[in-house]
Amino acid sequence: MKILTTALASTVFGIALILLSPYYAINPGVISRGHEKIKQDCFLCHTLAAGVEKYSAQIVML
Amino acid sequence: MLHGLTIKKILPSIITYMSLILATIVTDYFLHLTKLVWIGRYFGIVGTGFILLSFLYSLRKRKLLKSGSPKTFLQAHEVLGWSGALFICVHGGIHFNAIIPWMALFFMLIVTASGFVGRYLLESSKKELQKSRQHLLNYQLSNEEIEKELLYDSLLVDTMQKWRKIHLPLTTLFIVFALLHIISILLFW
Repeated sequence: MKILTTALASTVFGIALILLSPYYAINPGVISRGHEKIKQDCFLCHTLAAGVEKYSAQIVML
Repeated sequence: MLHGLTIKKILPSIITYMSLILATIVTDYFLHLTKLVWIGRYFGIVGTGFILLSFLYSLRKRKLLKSGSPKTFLQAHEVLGWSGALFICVHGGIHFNAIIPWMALFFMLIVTASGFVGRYLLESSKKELQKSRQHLLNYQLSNEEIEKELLYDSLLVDTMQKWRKIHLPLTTLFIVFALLHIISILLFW
């Protein structure tokens, strides 16, 4: 029971953190200065389970 | 005298734990020196594999795996756990970029330290039990069978149960944050 509570609480905490601030929660590296304004919006460049789409980053910069 | 004995008993665990930190620094330095830092990314996969294999001991302990010496499984658990932790530490490096992977790393180091405490408690419990279970020899059991009996009995000792009440939630926290990190990496690969 204690383990289940720990698992549930930490999962909720982790997911909330990811939703509130994906950049600080999961970003594995330092983002470039050009991408500073979009650092919290992962989906501008990334597609779930498909990685970074070829031209998306360039489109954003335009 | 008692203080000296305790230090003598816990010293191997402290040395093994410190060797993990030292091995991480040396490996990381070597990777930087040889410009092979990119390998560190894949060390995460290798380390996770090692740690997953180390959990076979938990399956054996709960008798979900029927064959194999529990002592061998425990030794494998310690070696694979230490090696997996080394790979993960090098993979994590000294970069404070994201909270979730760092929490996974933090709890992994805590669980590793807790594992060493468990090993110390297990050894102490086994020694205590060994004294009171000398009669097993009278039944002409093999050394391996006696070792197996002692291991299972020592796991039931009160101290071990108290330790497990702390170790298992900590392991759960490590697993949850590691899974969140792995899933998020796979989703944003």
